[in-house]
Amino acid sequence: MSEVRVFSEGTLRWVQASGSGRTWATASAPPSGIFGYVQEGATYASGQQIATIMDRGVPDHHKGIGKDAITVLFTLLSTGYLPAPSSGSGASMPMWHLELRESKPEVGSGSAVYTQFHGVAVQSVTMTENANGNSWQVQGIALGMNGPTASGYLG
Amino acid sequence: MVETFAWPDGSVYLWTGIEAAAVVGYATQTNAQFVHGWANVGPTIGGTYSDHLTGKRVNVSLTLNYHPGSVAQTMFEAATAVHMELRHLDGVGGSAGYLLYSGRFDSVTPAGDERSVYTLAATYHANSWSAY
Repeated sequence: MSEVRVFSEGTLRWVQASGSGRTWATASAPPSGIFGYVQEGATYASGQQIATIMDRGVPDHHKGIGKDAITVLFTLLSTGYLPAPSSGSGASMPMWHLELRESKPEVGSGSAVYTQFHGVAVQSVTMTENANGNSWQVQGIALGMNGPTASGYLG
Repeated sequence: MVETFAWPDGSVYLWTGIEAAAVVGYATQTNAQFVHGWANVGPTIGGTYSDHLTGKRVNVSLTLNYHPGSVAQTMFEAATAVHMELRHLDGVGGSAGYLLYSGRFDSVTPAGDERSVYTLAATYHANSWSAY
């Protein structure tokens, strides 16, 4: 079995999205970077809606009747800089793509698994001032996601 | 038994003799009512009844999320009749639907609500169809 992943092995990167946001589309040489000082507790939730078809009271088959948008929540300590999502060509809503990188040091240098979130629009930013670092809690909603996968876009 | 159909399995196509077929984008609701009119006659002296077809009509209503160049809008303005296909493909080989021939759009209703997307409702009718 592979080893488990821990918080310190992860990084969260962002890139300005372009196009509809349903896939990893960006402009040429788009702004990107690492969110500064990501704290514990980042979460995402994906889901789909299922109708279970009954045949005279007995479950017969499932039908997928919809997919939910994916909510993404993460907390970071403020550096005073929050990257601006982009409203690229083909979409009016400013969006990021986000990529969570979980390194696999036991496999070898540079090895990692990646989870990509496509077309993340910012729903809320909550700023809290603390003596040991001001925090931003950023909640977004993604159109789609991919991963975990072996290849990343943002390194 | 085969699988049932779900909403994501469906699509609606429109076309005229001039315009190429195009799928109706971002439909959020479709409804089609097929009606046969019958004259129920009888009884004869032998006690039997008969039915005579007096007409056929299908009424379709669609609700779309409004977007530029909506096919329903341009087809509404078409000088020619408009064909429609209601199609379901369930992904495991099943298909079903209706082909509606030479119909007309009766109305389109753009509507806006605060804190909601703009919608376009449309109604359509035809008198000839085939099912598959």
